[in-house]
Amino acid sequence: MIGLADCNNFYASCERVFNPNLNGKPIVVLSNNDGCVIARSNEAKRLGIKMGEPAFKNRYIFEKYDVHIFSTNFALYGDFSNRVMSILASNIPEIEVYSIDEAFLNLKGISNRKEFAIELRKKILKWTGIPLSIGIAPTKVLSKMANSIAKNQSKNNVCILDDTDNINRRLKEFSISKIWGIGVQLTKKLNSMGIYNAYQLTEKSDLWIRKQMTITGLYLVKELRGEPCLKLIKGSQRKKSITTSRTFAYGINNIRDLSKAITTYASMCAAKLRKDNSCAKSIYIMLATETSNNGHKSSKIIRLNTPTDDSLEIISNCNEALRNIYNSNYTYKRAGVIVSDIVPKSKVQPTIFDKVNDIEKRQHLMQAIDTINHEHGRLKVRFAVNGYSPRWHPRQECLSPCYTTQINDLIRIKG
Amino acid sequence: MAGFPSPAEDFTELSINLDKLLVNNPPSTFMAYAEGESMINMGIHHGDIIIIDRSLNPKDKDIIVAILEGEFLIKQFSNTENQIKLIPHNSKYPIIDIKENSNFQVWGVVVHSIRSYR
Repeated sequence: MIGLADCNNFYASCERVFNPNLNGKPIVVLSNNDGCVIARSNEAKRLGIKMGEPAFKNRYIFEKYDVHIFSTNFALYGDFSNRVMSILASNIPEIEVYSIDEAFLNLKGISNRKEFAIELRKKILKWTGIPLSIGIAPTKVLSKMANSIAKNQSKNNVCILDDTDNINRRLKEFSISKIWGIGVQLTKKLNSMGIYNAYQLTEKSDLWIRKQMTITGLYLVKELRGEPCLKLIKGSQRKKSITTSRTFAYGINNIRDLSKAITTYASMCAAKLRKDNSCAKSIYIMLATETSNNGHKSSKIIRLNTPTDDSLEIISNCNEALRNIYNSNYTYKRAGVIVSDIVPKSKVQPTIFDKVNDIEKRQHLMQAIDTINHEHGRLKVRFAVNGYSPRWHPRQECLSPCYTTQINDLIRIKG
Repeated sequence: MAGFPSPAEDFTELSINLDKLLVNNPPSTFMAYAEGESMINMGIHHGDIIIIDRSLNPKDKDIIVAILEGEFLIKQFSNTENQIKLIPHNSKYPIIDIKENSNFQVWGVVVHSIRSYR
């Protein structure tokens, strides 16, 4: 049996741990640059605030109903995610961390699963303050469905689907648009063929499914029938790429400001590589004049001889690429750096052109930078070109303190 | 010429790790700054860092972080004869009786406090 543990309104729940006054009140979290709604508490959902909607569209509702607004605080959410995942991992032999707030659980060998799940949920709520739902079923896709049923249960947020009659009854009530992996377009297509609920899909022939939904769709439908096709991805499989990109608060058309932004993103990517003990072989930089897919875009890929996690090397490559693609006729609204072809640091072999001594020196410098930035706040030590101009720094007007990762941000409690 | 081996070599142990000493259960451990004077006779002073373990169940006489009517507090937990009280350790502050209709919750148990002298 597979379980899916999914934190309830995760970002809003993290904000509540240190703000008990917000219990029962509507909360929204805005994307980088405070642009769009990316998370809502149940109370905010009930007010009709939609996911992904621009904040300015909701100004009226925010004011009228006294909605509490937060900028994304990834330091805080990341720390709570680690706490929840480590409790799950220490109670279950095998888990797959699927996203910041979800994990699949291999419940093989665990008897009395309902009681186990209820106790685990209680423990995580008590230890971290984060509520979660657990859905349990024979396959991953069904465990996703069980989880969404669990979310709507007010009692204990645990749902187990283990007998065929029960699963079939639930499948009939489950709209295909809610199935994991079925998007808007596919829903429309299937609806036009008269298929509305998950059960109808399970009755179609394999051949038909493959034709309409490709092989991925067939796996999905088999999983709906209770036949496991998707395995748990074990451990923390290495990230394939690391992206840092931002939308600017204002358009930028001079290369100096762009270079500051690109340099900052490059050093953030490098710091993430070092944190994961990885090195990257490819660097990709991107500039765009619009936040949507329209507008002018330019990009460049740089391939390195030796994979690196060195900030200076990544920064200088990015800046060279920037000078290549920059066009003074455009005003840019977005920029980003992606590092990919990631390999474990232990597997990196220097080429004969690399001077071993220099590499070691650089590594000590990088370590020192990471340590200072960890102890004194992010981006305290920066490379000369980084700058910190508010013109390109994303707007984060409602950022909560980093209660769990910065010593100066610890909550202050009256004795 | 090779030196004489250190006579302490066989007795080498890992250095004492403050993290391990102070944090028994990392995923449930949080830190906070103490403010104000109400716990001064218990040795918790303004500006001290307190270490809170949320996994523990509060026992009578434990120091706890509580939420009362939406406000965080550090007090001593007293639970005798089915009456929960929050006890300050400074005569200038009153004992708080927790009533049945109080909006009260134990947030975590204080396991250590850290004070810096310079």
